[in-house]
Amino acid sequence: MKTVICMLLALPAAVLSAPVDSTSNPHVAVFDLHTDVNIDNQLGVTNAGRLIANMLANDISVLAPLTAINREAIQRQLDGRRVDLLNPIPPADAKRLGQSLNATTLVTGSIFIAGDGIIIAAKVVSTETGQTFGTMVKSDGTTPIVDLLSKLSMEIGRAALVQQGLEPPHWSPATIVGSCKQGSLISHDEIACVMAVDGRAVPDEVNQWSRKQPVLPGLHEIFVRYYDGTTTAGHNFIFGAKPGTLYEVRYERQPPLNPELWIEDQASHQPVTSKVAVGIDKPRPTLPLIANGPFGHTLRKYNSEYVTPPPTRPK
Amino acid sequence: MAPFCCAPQAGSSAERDRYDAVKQFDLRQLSQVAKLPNHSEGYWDRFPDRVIKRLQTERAPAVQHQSWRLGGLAAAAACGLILGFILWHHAPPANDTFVTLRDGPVLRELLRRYAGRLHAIVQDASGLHTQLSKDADVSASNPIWLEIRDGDAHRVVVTFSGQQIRCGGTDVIVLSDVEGQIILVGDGFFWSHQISAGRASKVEIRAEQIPGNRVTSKPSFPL
Repeated sequence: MKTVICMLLALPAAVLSAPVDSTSNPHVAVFDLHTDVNIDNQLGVTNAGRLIANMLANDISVLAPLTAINREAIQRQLDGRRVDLLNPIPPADAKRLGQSLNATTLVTGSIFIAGDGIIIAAKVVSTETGQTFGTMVKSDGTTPIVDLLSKLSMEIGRAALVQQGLEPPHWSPATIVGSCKQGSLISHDEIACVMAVDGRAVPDEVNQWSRKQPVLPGLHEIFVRYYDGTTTAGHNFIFGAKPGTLYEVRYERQPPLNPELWIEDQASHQPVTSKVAVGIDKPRPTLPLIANGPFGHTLRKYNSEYVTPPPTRPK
Repeated sequence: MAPFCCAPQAGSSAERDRYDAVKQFDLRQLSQVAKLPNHSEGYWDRFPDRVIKRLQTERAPAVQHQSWRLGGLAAAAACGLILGFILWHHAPPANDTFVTLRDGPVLRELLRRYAGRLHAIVQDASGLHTQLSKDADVSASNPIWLEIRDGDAHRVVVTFSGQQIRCGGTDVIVLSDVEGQIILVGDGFFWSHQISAGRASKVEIRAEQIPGNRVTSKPSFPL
């Protein structure tokens, strides 16, 4: 968890928010979540409340028709004041705050540690009426925090839409697949595949390259692997998955150069991550000359000894 | 009386002006005649109790319309159910006041009286209390019924999503989600139907959303 959080901290706040537009759909302002030092220590960060609020705003921004208010703008407007889950927000204050932030919905929250798991509670306040809903998510210690936040953002989105008198849509998960170029008699297949989603390894990932891996809408960490029978290379991508979108892991390689890896929207062919030239891992010591021969199949399989494992995270 | 009963047909502007003048004159006259009654000191303090008593007595006649045989059978069945419930749970059933609070009429009555000012209605060992705001700054959110057992203390609270109450020795915010699931959140305090954490684990809580959250504008009779 610490690894993911540290990587996400490196993202600029501007990336984690969408610009405000002038439509009548819900505009959601997410405030820093309420935490204490124990929770920061447990998660291994200095300001878990702010970090999780950034991630939550990013997750909300991919849920059409919602718009997340720029988090930097919120900090500037508040100017050191706190909007806390633990204090009621009178309707007049909610309206004032909504007008100053151009927001229809205010979101505050709190984080709790319960046994091995984590609980995140959120309060959703309409700036027009002051109507207040609450929602919560809990993990059993094995659910990645990014999945928890995806679920929480969808619950917040539903509450915000109900407050606006709109029917909440069903936000279906996105999916991601690999890509492959068939080899010849004297060359291996080239495969770019998903090796792990949010730290959960995909079993037999090279042979399962075409299998669609589901990801909940929102920010995710996808560990991607390139393999051509002789070389392996990998990279960790973080991107915001839009509901119902099919993504594809893509590669490009001009031997002897290192392969370039990226993720793109399969329908539009637009990259959703940058193209990254990835360093080659150790070459295999022995290789069959004819990979697709009678004994080639087993050798083409991914050998975990020669690849960098995905980042591990403590429970 | 006619101007109060029906609107005049669209006519000349002179006719409309005359109609408005008559209406305003009648209204002024009426407001001078119908003055607020002078209530004794403590009237409003005892107001919630009177609401409850009245609602309980208003229910009674409905039962009397049933025939005595059906009534007897129903009473026997109810007694059996209550006895079974008591034996099963080894706990006394909630008293009438608690049930009346959960059913919502008390809340509706007080909401009419204190529109936008009612934070909570609390029933404890010392009676029924209302927690009111000085200004009309309480938002119209889902009403929630809570039963809190903290050691020997037993309270029933009716409040709204987003309001703050005292529970387990700390201030907590009561929230309901879109589907009516209730959570209580405070500093080091979390409670929901599925899980509790921190100080909430020492307190026994039952929570329900009160159905029919919209307050009707039906006029109430003076108490």
